[in-house]
Amino acid sequence: MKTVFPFAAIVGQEAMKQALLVSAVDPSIGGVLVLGDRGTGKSTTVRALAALLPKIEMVKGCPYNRPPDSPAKLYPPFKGDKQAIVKRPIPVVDLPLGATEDRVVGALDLEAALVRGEKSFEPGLLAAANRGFLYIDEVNLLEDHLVDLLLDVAASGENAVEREGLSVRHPARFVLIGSGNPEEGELRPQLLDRFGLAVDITTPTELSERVEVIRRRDDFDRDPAGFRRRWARREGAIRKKILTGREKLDAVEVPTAVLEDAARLCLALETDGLRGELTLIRAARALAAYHGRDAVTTEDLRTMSGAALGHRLRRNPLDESRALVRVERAVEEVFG
Amino acid sequence: MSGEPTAAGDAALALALLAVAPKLGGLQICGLPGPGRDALLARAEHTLNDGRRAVRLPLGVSPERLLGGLDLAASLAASSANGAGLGKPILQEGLLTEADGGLLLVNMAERQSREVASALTAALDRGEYRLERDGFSTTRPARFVALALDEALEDDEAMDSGLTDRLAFRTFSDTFYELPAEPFPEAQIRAASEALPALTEQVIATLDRAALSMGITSLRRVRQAALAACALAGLRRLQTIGAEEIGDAARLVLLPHALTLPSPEEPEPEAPEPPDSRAETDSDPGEADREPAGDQIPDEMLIAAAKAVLPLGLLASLSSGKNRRRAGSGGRSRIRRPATRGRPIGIRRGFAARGPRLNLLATVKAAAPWQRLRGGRKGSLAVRTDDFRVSRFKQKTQLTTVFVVDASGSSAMQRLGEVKGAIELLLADCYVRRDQVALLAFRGSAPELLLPPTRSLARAKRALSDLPGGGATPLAGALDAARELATGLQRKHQQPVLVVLTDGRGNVGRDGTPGHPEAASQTLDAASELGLEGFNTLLVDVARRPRKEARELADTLGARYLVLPRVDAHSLSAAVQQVSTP
Repeated sequence: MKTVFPFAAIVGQEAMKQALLVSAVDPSIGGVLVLGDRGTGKSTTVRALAALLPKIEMVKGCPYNRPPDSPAKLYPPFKGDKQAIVKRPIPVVDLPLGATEDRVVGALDLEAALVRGEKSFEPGLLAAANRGFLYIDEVNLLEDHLVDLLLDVAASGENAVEREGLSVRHPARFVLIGSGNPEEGELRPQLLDRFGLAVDITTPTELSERVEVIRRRDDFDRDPAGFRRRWARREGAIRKKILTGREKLDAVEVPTAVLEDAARLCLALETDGLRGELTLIRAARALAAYHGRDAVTTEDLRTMSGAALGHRLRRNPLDESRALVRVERAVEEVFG
Repeated sequence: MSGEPTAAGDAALALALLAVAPKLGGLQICGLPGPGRDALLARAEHTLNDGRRAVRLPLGVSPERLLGGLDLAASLAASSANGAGLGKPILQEGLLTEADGGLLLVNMAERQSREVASALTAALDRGEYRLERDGFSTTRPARFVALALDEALEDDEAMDSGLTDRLAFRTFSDTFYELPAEPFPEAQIRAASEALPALTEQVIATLDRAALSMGITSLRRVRQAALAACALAGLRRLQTIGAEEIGDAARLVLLPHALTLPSPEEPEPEAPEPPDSRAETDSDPGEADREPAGDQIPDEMLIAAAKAVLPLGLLASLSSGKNRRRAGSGGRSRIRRPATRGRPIGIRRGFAARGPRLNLLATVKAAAPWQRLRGGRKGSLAVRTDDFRVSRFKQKTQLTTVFVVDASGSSAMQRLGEVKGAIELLLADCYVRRDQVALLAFRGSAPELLLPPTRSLARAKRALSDLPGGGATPLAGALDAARELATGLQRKHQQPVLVVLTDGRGNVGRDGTPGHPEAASQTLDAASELGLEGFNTLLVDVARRPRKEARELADTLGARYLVLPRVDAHSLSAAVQQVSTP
């Protein structure tokens, strides 16, 4: 395992970091789409997240990361199940370009079939990502049929494989993180609003910030292990906040006034359906939990409004006026 | 190294720096094959690959070969050798892994597909990559220096911008014939790579300011410049990075990517002329009399350097602030193989080494019934060529709508606004269908490709709003240009649809002579040549009072003819829709 750049040491890019952190607290928010220029550290941030995430309990050796308290019949059996429980970091699985469908969904284990005449299922990346994150860099380059497949699984939380004489189902709940560069060809609108949160990131323009980015990167490149050690305390603090946030999440209260505020904001923006409103409230609640608060405030809504609603506005695709600006304006009008 | 910078000297220096710091990624070599390029490649194999030949990445490389995949021959051979059925699947390493620890040569980099470019950038970023193919799930090493041979001549052939971004250096190999002697002895390179001097905030800030003054915003580029400055100081056996290293790094890394140059008329910052107090390279220069790193690289120094190392054409476009050519994430050519990807739709008999993917399961199934007849030993599988089955894939043909827009005085001048509005609506349609669009405008003496085929609406819209009107009507030339563009698209297995908006009254010859007496007949000649290609074409007559010319043109083109006394966006959209569906 290569040493990765610490999450805590990433300069700026607050919107992206926030979206990832609230998703780590509440995976049901529905994934994060990161759009932005080249060289802004999209991949670095996601990989940093992988090293930051706290550990969760799972059955030892289970290729589907089965949680100890889940009914075993939900999960296909696997060889060597000793019912032991281990703690492993929340998985972050990379879906590389050029991955074949059999590796994504899983397929017949050819070696077992040919050598031993056994018909067994070899789990794919969707199994490995269960209960964690699935990261696709350059999501706009992914083949359409794979995108459809992923969205289908992400929405249903289950991977059903019916091929090569196999019939296997297993849970596949994961947070889909996609990144891309809009200049390289636009995303299908259908794809866009399947993501819970979407953030735009840009190259920093402030000289001091730019210098700091390069200085830290250089420090890291010279001594990765030492650099990680120097940031370990701050890294640990964030990890702890995620962990307590996950525990606290269900107890966080959403006052009626806040619910009304969210509804008024969505009305003002004319977002389609209830999905936007629901995502906004979930994200705000996860944010409150992350900060250890007991109730959601209108301020939380304000913080998450851009990421939760910006990509859901009904818009003319040629309309260049930035969606974020419209959200901000509406937030000002509604919340004052 | 002393004396004036030269393109050849800088190229040699870039190779030495890559040897010191492979994290600089590589070198983009712009230019056609020639003595300069050959000299550069030979030097690179010597300096960066221990004299071995570089691993070559040809055009149209398959994902299996690039990333690695199942080695069918070896897997089958292994099974017949041990007589125990198909043994363990054997991995054939990809080219990226073969290049590990050495040099990777990317042929015709400007024509490599997005997928290949993305695999390269991922490997360059991390020095390894994930392989998830054919049942293999593993991390493969891929630490290499990339040399990208970029032979782009046209605007629409720029190298993938992500890949361009990862390579610190760019050289124009047509500007020299040979390289100077190795700038640094090998031992010095090795020593430098072991201990690089520290990077200070001041050095980063100075390089960042220089980058911004050249219109470069990418932080990755500044990081490369900073690393190059470090490596330079290391090569020159210095403890700290001085003004000279900063200047050299800016010239080597930033300048070739400048979008604009700082204008010399601006009041000069009071930076003293750096005294040329450098001793010979191999004698240790005294730290004391060296110029300390300043906050700013003097503009005139950059301009002088630009004159010395950049080709004239690029320089001219720089000083007019128009080096957008390679700046944007331009359209790139894709060569499409017969579908080897996409949605699987079945299997068929046959197998070719480089063609469609072998479907192992189907192959085994086909061989199974014959085992007894073929007398295979127990546990082993006798597979004949006839058993091979390959997967068939379905891939949508990319539709590209090419707008050929008359922006001349005779025609659209007063209606250009309407036409623009209609095209915008068509663009929105294309967006929904994920089609590509291209925009070819003609006015004055020649047609101009305002927008190479793209899917980016933001770019399309920008190109359209920048379109001025007025002038003569080079219709004949425009039809020729449209034919060239469309046949090019067809070669890339894309389906072009032409939408020509004009009044049909060309008054410029095919060679671009205005008021050419033969203009009208030459226009028809060009039209019939285009018509012979048989593209789906729509001709929209945009004259206020339609006359026979446009009608005649449409007939010659074999195009659907549409009169739009008022360009009404919806009927136009419907008509385009009709011609697009054959």
